[in-house]
Amino acid sequence: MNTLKNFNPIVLLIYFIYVLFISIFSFNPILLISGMLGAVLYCLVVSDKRSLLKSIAACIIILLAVTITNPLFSHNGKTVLFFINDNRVTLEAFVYGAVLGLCITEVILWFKCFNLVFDTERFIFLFGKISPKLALVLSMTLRFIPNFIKSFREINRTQKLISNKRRLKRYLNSFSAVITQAMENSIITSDSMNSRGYGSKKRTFYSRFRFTLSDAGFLIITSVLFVLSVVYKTDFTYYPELIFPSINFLEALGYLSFIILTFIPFIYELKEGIRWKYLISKI
Amino acid sequence: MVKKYLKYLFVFLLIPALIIIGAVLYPQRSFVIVSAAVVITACVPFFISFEKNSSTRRLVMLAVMTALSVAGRFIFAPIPFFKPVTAMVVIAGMYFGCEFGFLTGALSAVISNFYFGQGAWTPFQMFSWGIIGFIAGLLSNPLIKSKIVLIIYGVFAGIAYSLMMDVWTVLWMDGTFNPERFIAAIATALPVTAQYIISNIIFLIILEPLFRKKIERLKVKFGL
Repeated sequence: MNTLKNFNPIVLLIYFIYVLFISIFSFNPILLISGMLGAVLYCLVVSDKRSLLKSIAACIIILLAVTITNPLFSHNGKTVLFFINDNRVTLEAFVYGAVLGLCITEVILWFKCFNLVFDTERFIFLFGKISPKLALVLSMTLRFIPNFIKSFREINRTQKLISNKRRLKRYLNSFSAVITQAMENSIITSDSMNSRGYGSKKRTFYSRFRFTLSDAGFLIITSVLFVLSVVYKTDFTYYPELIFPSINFLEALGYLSFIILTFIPFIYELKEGIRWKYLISKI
Repeated sequence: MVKKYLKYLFVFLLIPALIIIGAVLYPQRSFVIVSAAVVITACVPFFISFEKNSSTRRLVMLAVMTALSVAGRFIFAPIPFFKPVTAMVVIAGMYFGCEFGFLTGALSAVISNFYFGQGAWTPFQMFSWGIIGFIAGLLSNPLIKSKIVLIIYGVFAGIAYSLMMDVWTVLWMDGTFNPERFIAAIATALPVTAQYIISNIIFLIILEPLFRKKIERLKVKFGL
């Protein structure tokens, strides 16, 4: 079940921009770990466990690789651990590498969530807001792709029976046939569209997505949390010396806001899940 | 009318605003913000001009070319290293013009990522393929006339795509341009770049005459 999808795609897009903006630019390990937890928990509820495990394994490999290789590229920093070929290997570079690895993996995980929420329908809706014509192109393309693949398979199968050309040659021949078919059909399609009056008036769009009260609520809550976590952010310094800032009340507020912001999908999903169970047991 | 202007304002104000806010708040990471914003704003003029003046035929043709380039990726998946996307984008650019080439490249990136997963790299991929299509449109005359120029452009497109993605990797990792990491990125991407180049050349040599013939045929058949 994926109830987060019920929100308006624009609101959801803004939410993802908020989270990714802070994740990409803040370089703060505490925020990054919190973001990772939020994303993993959400994927745990929504997606299947195997693909999540695969992503986590990939993330661990990336994290290790980036941490270990970063000192090779960056020789800044005060605390020298040892030398390789007269190049300094510093503690700061290791720490920076680890945070960089966290940043990359966190963004990968959030894009996993993004892909879970944004299907093609929502994408076309968003594109339609910016450019209706491109949205039409997008939806036509998405329909053409399976069509072309299907007609390629049919032609290729027949070609296989009637000739004993090598595979590459046969593939190219069949692809060429698909291209001819597609291009001629495109002219026929566009003439047909014109004769049915496409372009004579502004195109209207039907969409299932309306802006409801709960969308407004979601937008306001996430915006407030975003602003709070950006305004009361804490900066970590890595070069030339590691400086971890102390936390007072306002900075704690900033941290808390971002932690809530990243846990919203998980909390919402959990809430809906509980509600669903509760309603079932009453029937 | 008001809504229309609001839309443009949104795009042209929001992105610069993002750059400024990002650069002021996160000075360590300002390069990443600027590069992302540049890449996104680069696409906007093409989208706007397509929105304003494009015939139905161009619209459907764009959908067909984009669909062919993405479908080609699936069709040739069993044959290793064969990815026709770049070649298709180049052909689209050289036969249908700069704008068309850019849009084919950008849309191919978005749509193939529907199947392979969107990521932070999507805008950069859109931009890289878009630019390859755009330049193909600028060079359309020499590209159509001479096979050698076409092959050289195929090699160039393979290298350029790789390099642009490497620049983005480096910016993303260090926050600034770190030449050492850039060289390392190029070195690790070398086998992939070689594959790109080879598949670009093969596809351009094979597909280009096919398209030439088919477009000529369309011109005769439908009197374009």
